[in-house]
Amino acid sequence: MAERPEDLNLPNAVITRIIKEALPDGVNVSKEARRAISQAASVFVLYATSCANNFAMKAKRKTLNAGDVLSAMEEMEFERFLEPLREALEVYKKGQKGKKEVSEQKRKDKEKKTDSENDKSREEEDEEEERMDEEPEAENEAEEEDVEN
Amino acid sequence: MPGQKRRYNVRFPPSRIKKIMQKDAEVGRIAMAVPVIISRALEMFLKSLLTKICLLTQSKNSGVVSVAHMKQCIESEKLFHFLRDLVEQSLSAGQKDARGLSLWPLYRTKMHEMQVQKPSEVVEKAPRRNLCSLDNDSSSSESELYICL
Repeated sequence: MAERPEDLNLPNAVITRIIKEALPDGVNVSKEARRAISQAASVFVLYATSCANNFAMKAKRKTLNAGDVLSAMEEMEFERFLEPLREALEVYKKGQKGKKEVSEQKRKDKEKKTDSENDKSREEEDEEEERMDEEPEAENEAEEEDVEN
Repeated sequence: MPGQKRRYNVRFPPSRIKKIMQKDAEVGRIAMAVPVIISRALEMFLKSLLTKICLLTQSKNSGVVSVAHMKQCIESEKLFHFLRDLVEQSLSAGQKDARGLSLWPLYRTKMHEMQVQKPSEVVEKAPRRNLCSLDNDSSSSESELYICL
């Protein structure tokens, strides 16, 4: 894999926005300091990752999960981050669930539309009955696919 | 999603965060929620860091945050000590790219050994690391000990 410097840095736009929100009006940041802040951000990610990974490895898991990150924050002495992070995690989980429900609803709507279109054509009626029988199974498969995604 | 407009621009792209995380050779798979949590933690961390640095800047009657202010703040706060090597490197070498991250392997060693590296060791390793990044041929042999960035 080619090494590109920008891969290790986070987008400047987001860093700049955070700096703006954190500092009062009138206070600016030197170019070098801005760069250093961006690098500090990357170092924080790596440090948190390493720490979280230790927890995952201890639990003999190969996949780093959110719980590992929370444990890492505690280890790094950023306990005051824990509550906001748990909230963020809840929001994320709900968002994921909502997305799944929306995409399932879309699938159902699509199938209903397909059914109504098939009613118009008599030749396809036999095929349509077969499709209807398969529907429940297809829905289940779709659920599993989403989870894997 | 409604209710998140304020944070619209301060969320880091999950793909970029994941790329940084996977620079750590020991990291395997990463659950989808993790980069989201890390992004939030990073936002909080940067705000915390900037707020502290800003206090220092203002106490010196300056309108511009400099690397020197950053260094002083990082030195004075135990919570930010993991950034110490970064500012040392940034100040002495004056490098512009992500070379500060070449010190990352030292953090991993620290985590595992649970002791502070001696200054002489730090100096010894850093120049070698710089040579390694210039000379691509030796990267494979170095990768056992270091992450090639």
